[in-house]
Amino acid sequence: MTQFQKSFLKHGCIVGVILFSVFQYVKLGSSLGEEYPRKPIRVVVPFQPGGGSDTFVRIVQKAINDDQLMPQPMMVVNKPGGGTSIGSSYVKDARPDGYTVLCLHEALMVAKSNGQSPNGPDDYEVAAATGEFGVVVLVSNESPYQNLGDLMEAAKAQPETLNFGINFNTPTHFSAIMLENTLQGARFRFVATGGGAHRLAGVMGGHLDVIILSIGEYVRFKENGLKAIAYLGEERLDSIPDIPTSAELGFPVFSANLHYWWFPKGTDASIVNYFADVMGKVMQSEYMLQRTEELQILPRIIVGDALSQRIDDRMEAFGKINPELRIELPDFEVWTIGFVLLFIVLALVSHFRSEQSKVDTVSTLRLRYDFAFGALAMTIVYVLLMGLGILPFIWATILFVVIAGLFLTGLDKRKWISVLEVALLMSFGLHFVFTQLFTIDLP
Amino acid sequence: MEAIQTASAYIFSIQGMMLVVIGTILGITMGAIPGLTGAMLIALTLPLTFNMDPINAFILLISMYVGAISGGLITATLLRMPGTPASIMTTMDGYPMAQAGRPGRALGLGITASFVGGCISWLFLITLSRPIALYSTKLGPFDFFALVLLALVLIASIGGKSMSRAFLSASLGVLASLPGIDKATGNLRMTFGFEELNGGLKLLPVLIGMFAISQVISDLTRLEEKITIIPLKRAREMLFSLKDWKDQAVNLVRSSVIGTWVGILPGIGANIGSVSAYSAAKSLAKPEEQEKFGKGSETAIVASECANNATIGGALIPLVSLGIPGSVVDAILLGGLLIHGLQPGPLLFQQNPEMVYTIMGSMFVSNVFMFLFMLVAVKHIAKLASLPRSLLMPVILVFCIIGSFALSTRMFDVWTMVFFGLLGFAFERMKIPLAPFVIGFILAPIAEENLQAGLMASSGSFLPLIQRPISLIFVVSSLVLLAVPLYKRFKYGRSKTS
Repeated sequence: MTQFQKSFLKHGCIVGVILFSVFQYVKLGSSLGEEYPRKPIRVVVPFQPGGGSDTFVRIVQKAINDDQLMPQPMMVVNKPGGGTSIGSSYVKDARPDGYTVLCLHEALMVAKSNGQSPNGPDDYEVAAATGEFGVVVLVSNESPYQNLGDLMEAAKAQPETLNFGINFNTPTHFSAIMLENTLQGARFRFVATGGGAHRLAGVMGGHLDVIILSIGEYVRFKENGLKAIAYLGEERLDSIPDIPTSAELGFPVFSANLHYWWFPKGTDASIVNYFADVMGKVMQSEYMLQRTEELQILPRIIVGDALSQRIDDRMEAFGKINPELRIELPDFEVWTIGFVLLFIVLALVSHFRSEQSKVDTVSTLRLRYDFAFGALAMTIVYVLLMGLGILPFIWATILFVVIAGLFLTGLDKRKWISVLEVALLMSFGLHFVFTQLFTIDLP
Repeated sequence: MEAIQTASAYIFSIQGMMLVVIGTILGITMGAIPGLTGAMLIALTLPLTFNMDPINAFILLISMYVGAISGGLITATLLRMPGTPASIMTTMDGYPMAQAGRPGRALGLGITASFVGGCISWLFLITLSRPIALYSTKLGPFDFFALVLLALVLIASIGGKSMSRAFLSASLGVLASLPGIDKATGNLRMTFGFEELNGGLKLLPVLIGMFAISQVISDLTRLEEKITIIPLKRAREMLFSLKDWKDQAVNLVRSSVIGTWVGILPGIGANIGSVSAYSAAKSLAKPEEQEKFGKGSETAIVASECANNATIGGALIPLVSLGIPGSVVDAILLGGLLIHGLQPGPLLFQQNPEMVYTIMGSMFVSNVFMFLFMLVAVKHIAKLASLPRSLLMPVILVFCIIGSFALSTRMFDVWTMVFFGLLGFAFERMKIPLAPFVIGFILAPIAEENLQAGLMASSGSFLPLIQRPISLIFVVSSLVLLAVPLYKRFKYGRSKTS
């Protein structure tokens, strides 16, 4: 091949990819329908992808999209962090047009009632509560307390000696306190060990005496010398028929949790009802029934008055609980700042002590700080343009890559075609990859 | 058994093999281009894997890891610029040998040594991880806290030239991990009224800023640097002869074991492994061979490249068995496990055995592919170093921004990334090492959580820290690691002044 043919082929391929991406972008704009939902509905999950809630929402998403239960697809957006408050605030402040909905279990109510998050049920229009997942109380097979009665009596006889593994200020913690409250004088020693896997390792290694786990986790790990002594639900479950409920044993705690669907306050009632109907169909779909059985979730759905009643009951129950810390912990902020200051002093001392002996190495290379800081300033402007909503991702990126590219190549005339190609490839190409392939929103 | 089948079904499927190929090639390429590192590639790829199956995501990420550590030797040999910090020692002998007209030989030694180092450390990975994981449920919160303490001391005392700067870096990392919700009490701390900080600073924007942005800034200042490559005409001499195998056998095994061991030690990575094996090889070599070190010694190239690849398998051992990262790249992988909803820690073997075997399997497969690909394509990869960097830099900047944004789709994370990019650049100007910062940032929450859990279980007493044999060992080793360099400096300082 001649040089010309080679370069023609190369540019041809690049232009092809660009045209494809532009076409995808144009298509995206023209696919709007007439009635609600006219465009895809975005579900905000305030957790990282892959967790229990995220898995559940993705099952719902697949059920809706595969069986076409809505004329438009459902999109999942993960906004983890802040103990769910980042995601819940985002939806609270979203436009109440029915295209943004939050899926979050009772952590929303727990976070509201302990003051960890400003957002409570009153800030939303709730559509439905779906998919119930229960929890069990577990001990080790070698534990001296092989039933709930013995355990509770021991917690009363020797208060604050039994280590109860929990995740602080979450539904597990609240359930544990509710259990404590069922017997006058019983007190556990709460140990904040974090997620389910950590609690499991703790009870297996003998560091914890008792833990709470979801039924799904319990069924997967019961081989590891674990014994479930109570199920915290209203009646025994078919999948674990030999495990009594705590109420049967005289310690009534109900801590079954559901995934609630919250629209921003002010969303039209017809939209909320439409969505509740769709969820009703989703919970009966074959795919949903099959997956919930695998995951030990009950395919239950609560809507309407029963739902508001349930929310009121739960808020009342959570309000009675005071999850205070029972021991004094060291103040990590003070310690860390102390260490930082100490090491700043040490580093300065060693810097000045070694200064005399150092010989400056002379570099022949001229360092181009103008390039570095010029490009950095452009980056900041680029982020500002998108952050303030002045330009969407595509146009801001084209502008940034073209200007930065020309600046760094020193306005070289031979390079401007490559710069333009890169700019179009980055903007339209990445827009296609992220919004279409990965369903991640861009600014 | 079932898990091994699942894992191999994934890896040996068409999709899996594609991911190995893409990951390894991208890794080698990024590793070979000076200024782009494996840590940067993996941090930027992580957001792209959000919607992938976790197993596929890890096939890709592990392949990148293997490729990135290996690719550095190409530019180290032909350009006298280590493509990654892991290949610094290779530069010392690879370049002189290439200059002397034997670039093919130098590359061949490095490639084969990398392959062997990877394989030997892989054997350690598959044999040691499970026993360690089984044993580790016996470790209580105090033991984990002491282990993390040891890791922090280790990286600060070995990782850099100046101990006080390394410790400063680590403590700043710890400080950066504090804002957000205190896990033990649920109270907000150090958020200064920013609601966006309630969730704390995210790992990914901090990492991308620290490694990618600061690197881009310092690359931009050197944009005018001329790069000359030694042309690789003959690609013969690349394969090991029988005599080579015989001569280098001891060196290969020794360097692999050193590399693996350095890898297992939490927090320190490939460059330290390579330096340690290089010095061991030098001090154990025959006098006439010792002479050649630094002038194109074959033993030296083999030791350096063998050991840096061996740290991969080593560093994965604490990652899969304890949930504690063995190096900076492993710290990013740890974040990746969390992002995909997997709980790293002693129970990963039971909860997600298929993931553990995927990590192991893809390391091996990628290692084999790396070997074959490097032998065939080394000539072309070398040319990549002359890619127009003025065009590359805006592209990397766009990727940094999208990568930080995609995690929670909010601009706050992008600003965080820009801030930490400037901080990272300032660190480099002040000769403060970056790695302790990142390790401190990642390990501090693990340490804090375990200490809090331990204190809650002991009703506030610190005594178990020295009463439990395992934590006692870790605490004593940390103190020794701290004391030895201080004592040396004290003695040295005295003799100098007197």
